[in-house]
Amino acid sequence: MSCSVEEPTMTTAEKRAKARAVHVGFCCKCKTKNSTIIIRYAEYCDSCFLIALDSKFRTALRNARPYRVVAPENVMLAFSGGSSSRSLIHLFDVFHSLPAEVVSNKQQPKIYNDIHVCHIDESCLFEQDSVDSTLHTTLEQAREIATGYKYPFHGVRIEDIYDPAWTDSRCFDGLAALITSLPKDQLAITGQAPELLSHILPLATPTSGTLKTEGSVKLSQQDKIDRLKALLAVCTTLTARETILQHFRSSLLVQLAKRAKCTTLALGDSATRMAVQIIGLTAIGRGYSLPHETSLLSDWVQDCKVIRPLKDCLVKELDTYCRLNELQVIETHAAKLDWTVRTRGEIKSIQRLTEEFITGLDKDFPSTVATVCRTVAKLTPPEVNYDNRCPLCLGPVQEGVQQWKERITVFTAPSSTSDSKVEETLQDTDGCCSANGAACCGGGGGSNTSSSCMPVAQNGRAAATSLSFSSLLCYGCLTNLRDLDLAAMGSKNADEPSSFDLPPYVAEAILKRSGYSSLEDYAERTTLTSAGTKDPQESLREQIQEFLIASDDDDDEGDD
Amino acid sequence: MPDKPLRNPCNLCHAVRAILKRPKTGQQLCKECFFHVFETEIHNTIVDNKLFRSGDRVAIGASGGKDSTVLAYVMKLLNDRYSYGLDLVLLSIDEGITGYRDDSLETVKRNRDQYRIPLLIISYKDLYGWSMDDIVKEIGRKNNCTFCGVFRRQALDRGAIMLNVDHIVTGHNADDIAETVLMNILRGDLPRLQRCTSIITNDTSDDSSGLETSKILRSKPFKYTYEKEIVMYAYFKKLDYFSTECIYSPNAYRGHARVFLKDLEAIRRTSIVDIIHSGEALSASVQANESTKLPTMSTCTRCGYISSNELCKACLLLEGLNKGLPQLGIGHSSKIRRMHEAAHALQATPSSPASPLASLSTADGAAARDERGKLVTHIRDLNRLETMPTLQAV
Repeated sequence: MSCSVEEPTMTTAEKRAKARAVHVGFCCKCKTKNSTIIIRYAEYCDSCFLIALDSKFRTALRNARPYRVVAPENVMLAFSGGSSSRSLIHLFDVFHSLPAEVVSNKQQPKIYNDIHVCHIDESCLFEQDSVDSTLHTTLEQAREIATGYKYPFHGVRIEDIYDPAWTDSRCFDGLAALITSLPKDQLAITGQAPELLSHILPLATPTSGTLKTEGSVKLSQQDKIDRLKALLAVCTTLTARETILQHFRSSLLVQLAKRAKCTTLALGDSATRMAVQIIGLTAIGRGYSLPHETSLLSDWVQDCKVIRPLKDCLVKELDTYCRLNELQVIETHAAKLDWTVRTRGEIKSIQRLTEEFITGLDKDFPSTVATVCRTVAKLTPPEVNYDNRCPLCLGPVQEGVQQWKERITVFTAPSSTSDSKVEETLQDTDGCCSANGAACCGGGGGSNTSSSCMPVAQNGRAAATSLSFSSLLCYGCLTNLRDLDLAAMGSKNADEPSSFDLPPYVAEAILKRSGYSSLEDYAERTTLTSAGTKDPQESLREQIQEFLIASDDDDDEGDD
Repeated sequence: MPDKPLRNPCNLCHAVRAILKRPKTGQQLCKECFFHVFETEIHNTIVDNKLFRSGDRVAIGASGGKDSTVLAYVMKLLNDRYSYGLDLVLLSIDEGITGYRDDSLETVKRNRDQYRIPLLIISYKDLYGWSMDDIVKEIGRKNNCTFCGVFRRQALDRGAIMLNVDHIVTGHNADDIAETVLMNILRGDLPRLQRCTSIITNDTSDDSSGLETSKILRSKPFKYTYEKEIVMYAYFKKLDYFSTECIYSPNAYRGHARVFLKDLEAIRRTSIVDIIHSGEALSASVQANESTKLPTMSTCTRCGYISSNELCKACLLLEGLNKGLPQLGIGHSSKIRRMHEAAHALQATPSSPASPLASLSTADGAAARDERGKLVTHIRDLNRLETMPTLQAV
């Protein structure tokens, strides 16, 4: 019945616009001046347009804070450099510049106390050849714009995500190294995503890039850039790279807001961008956290509300707004990542494809953006404990996603189903082994370092240095990390270290979810237990003996 | 085990050379392992969602296309392999589209003989007095899918009543569902967004009527099965199916969504499953919202079929057709009702020969209410159906 659903019918706005057609050429508000701007079906003159946009913004701001203001809050404006967030600053400024008689009136307290502006400089990820000209620039440009409004400015570089300071504890000197639960020689053979585990490594490794200042470890700027680039380099798709970068951005933004003692973080997401986000997030499997990531007001992050007061404004409106007010924007501000593309197959990311799709559809069906945004605004976000957040995206985690995946995508060979009893015992014993069915623990070798593939969270105590990682992730991140290059990951034998690390905030979240209070606690308990526990591998191996494949049969495997 | 190492061994059994790359995971598999994972996933879907109870009589909605052909084959296979204890029947709807449905129905008839599953064919012409060819002649190519969709839904239910089944399974695959999720977000249809990912749909949750339709469940065992894998399965099993697009079909808006979905799949092959996962999560978010309750279900005053209005959509469309007002039922609902009232005033006698459904459907409702086991007798050439050899088992 795939053809039974009708095309979208004309919306009220479109109908009203048709009725308005008598005024063609004149502003639809004042009806006296010639129109200069056409937004969807409505024609405006310059001044009416500005008034209309301003009231749209005020309405949104009021809706984002519907209750009566008791104590004014501090707000952090996230400024990327683009026209949307540029308009955001200006609109806030207009909103906040109250006439003197209102300011003196104690009956009407201000909604927002201090307005701060923050910016994330991504110039280290710009195209290689343009680095020289743009390095250090976006931060300074952004500072200039913010100080022009006399707002306190907070700048940070995207590579600072690797700084121990940008974590909840503000000094978490650890990184998370990912390892696979499968030995490397098995990876190519099964062709499936292995369970991911993590090691928390102290940052204070004696590499050339570290230097000690004020008691805590500091990485040099270049070292941080290298780590970030290394991480992006092991993502095999542009989609994965863009998604991970987006997680880093939002983690930094929240940290920036919290440090400036702002209880509200205002993002400049426009309606057009929101619609693209909604479809894009759906497509990468992030439907669960979607209501939080796209709502006008999200209280998901503890102690920091996120508001999107421009989510009713089309990007075209905001561009026009910038033009009319002669607002200066930063030309190149967001990392494009095109230079990271190595094969033709990954030229397009899901995000970019979605953008093309929505803008294309919006040309034929101009109500698309508004419809999509309106629909999703009606959704209620899931009620999940903030402590159970995904270590990578810091979003809500849905229970049982790994099991869901396993049931609908089967990875077992035919013989194993004939004896379903064995399958069940496997699942009961160990989450990691059941996920991989046939081959986990297969060729691990008996070395002490690879003593266990048991995820710590599964049995609640520290059995080894490796912590479970996959089981902590939300569905979207779990899917996204399938695009990591497994060869670059550490194997269970610690002699092969992974060639990239996840930043401290991830490591901190992993430890917290796994039940450790601090890095010291983890290090302490690890050294205690790794000596005492008996190797559980042999007993596991016995249980799954019949599924194991002697690895010498499959040496000349070509992946793909 | 061979002495010499295999070139390209299957990722699962490692014993046989891989001959295909699995669309869902990118794994290289041999034929047997592909069959195994394909069938097991459908089995998991059926078991996990508790689709059937032992002894259920299940109608397979069969069009002769790839999805339903594979569905019929796999349902029979799994029923035998895992002893579901199901009594399977094929149910086909003949929309009356020359050059499309007549050919595909021949395929269904062959499937009936190949799989030894009884078959019932119900035609629009018999049920409504109009075939799709007639309708297209009357209203043109635009909007005819509305008629076809509404009529087919009801026809399937009527067929199910005739066959006295508990359950209808349809061949909707993962691609269809992912596409519907996207479509419903794009069109802003929250109630449908909520419903479209559920694997079982039952038209009346609160059973107010004693009507048989309310007890028939519908489900999609292929909910997590990729379209490409269905084609692959049919190809390697050498199944006999009919592959032509409906000649009246394409819908521009849905076409956009389908192209987009295919592009997404090319970028990341799991995206179809990811969208379904998102859709399921979103649907849970809708549920908590009070403002998007479904309309209350009642029954159509004319035919007794479930409906949210006094008159069900099929009767409304049919009335439009019969009175030469084909635009009735397409477009805005208040306008339709006004048109309908005007039309109703014109025609005081409902049982006039101009509207065959009126007499026809009341008989149907009565029959359904009377005795469930009895086949409804108003279908004109039911005699012909009954003489079909395979219907002896029915």
